[in-house]
Amino acid sequence: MSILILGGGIAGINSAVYLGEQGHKVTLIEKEKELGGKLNNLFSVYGLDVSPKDFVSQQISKLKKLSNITVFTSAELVETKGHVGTFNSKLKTQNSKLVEIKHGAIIIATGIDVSTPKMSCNSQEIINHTRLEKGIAGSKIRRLSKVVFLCDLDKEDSQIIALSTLKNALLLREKLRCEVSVLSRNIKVAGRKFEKLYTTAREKGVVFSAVEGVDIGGLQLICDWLIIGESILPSHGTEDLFLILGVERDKQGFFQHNNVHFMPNLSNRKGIFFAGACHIDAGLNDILDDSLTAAYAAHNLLAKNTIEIDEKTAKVDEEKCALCLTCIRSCPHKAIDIEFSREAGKKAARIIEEACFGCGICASLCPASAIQLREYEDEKILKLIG
Amino acid sequence: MAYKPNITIFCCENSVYETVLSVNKRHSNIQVIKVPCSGKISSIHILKCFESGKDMVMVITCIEEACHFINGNIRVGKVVEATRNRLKELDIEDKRLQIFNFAPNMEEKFHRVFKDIVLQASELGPIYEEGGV
Repeated sequence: MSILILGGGIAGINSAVYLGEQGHKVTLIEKEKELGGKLNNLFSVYGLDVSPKDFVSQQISKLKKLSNITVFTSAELVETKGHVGTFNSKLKTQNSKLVEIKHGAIIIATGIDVSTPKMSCNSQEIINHTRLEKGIAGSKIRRLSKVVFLCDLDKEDSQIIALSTLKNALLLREKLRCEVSVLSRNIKVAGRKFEKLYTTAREKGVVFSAVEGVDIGGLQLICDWLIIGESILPSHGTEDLFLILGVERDKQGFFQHNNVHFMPNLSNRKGIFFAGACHIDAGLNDILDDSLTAAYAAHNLLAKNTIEIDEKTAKVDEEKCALCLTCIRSCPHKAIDIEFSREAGKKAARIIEEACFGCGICASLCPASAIQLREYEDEKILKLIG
Repeated sequence: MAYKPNITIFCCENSVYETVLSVNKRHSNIQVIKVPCSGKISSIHILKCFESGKDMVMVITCIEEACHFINGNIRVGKVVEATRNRLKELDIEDKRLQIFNFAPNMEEKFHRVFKDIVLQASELGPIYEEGGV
């Protein structure tokens, strides 16, 4: 079966490589000109022996060896129809050419965008992590004597930024031998080996101080550089994807609800999975694991070439259906379509059984009682009530 | 002897269903109706309960953001709210319909809430006067 992967960052590439090795037909699309995503801009990643660029190019070469993977760069998803197993998508590729593909599952790995909070400081200019990484990579840094990292400005920093702070603090300390201090509300590191990163940074002489509620405008710091962390935002195509695919987002606009039943990779629709930074806030190690988990889930779904249907799905009495579209609006899994029914001789709602979770929300809301949930029919419940 | 209220409990099978069943076994006046998701419950089911002489209806749903079907618990919240308004129209105390959010492991809290509900129901008394329809 074939699989569509949205996003050619490290998460998308990693999933594609696994699925390609398993013999699936994979289509990978990326909206930028190059594969690799955010990792291309980084100078180093803690826990990675090689440079991030080399790591990405290793993965891309693996990807290119596999003949069953098709890659479209500068491409985006325009339209998706159908349901698990029978998705039908239109892609806009280079030169606005439309390509139509059929696929059984989708993995969303669209990643994140970063934005620097707008603030100014009297004493010196503010530098964000992206610029710092570029500066270190270009080795154009003049001699520095003191660098200050400011963390948790308006809210607690995300894990990626916290890790980046620790890593860069240690790097500047070791490489340039300058004084480095980190001002933060609270240092929290989660993940493999990251506690060690913190203790190493302390041992090497990075100074950590706790501060609360800094007014950055009136701040008088004697230092060469003041470095602040960016805030993490959902990738800017997220809004469009939400409309095209009908997947739910959380309150911050990232994919996937904070709901235990859908952890780690499931979405509200069967056959659509999330991978990477678009739904978790984590470092590279965890992103790699997460993208593999999504790939396993897709492989599990499609490896048998058949999709099992739950017994307790809803069914529609086409005669009674008045096409009010209440069910289509209320279905949390987008498992209802309008289709011409031969038996009734008119258009009616149709439950797509392979996509139905069997919750019965449509059955409870249908004003004509045209929809009934198998084993929980209204008659049965009313009989129980007495 | 204290009045034994008739209570119907609509329970989502992903919530504290096992505990609710154990309560059902001990009390003959408690009726439990299992639903795959509390979003399956509609107004007609609740109103039918009152019509058939139940004194109290409890709707048990999962805690927010932990619904197996994403928003079934929010939907049922709206259904309960609308049904309560309808009960007010009919001059039935809206306290007779209550909704609770429980995770599967909140047995102790369920027992506490249930005790309170039985107390409230006995205070309210039977829904119809004796000799009435």
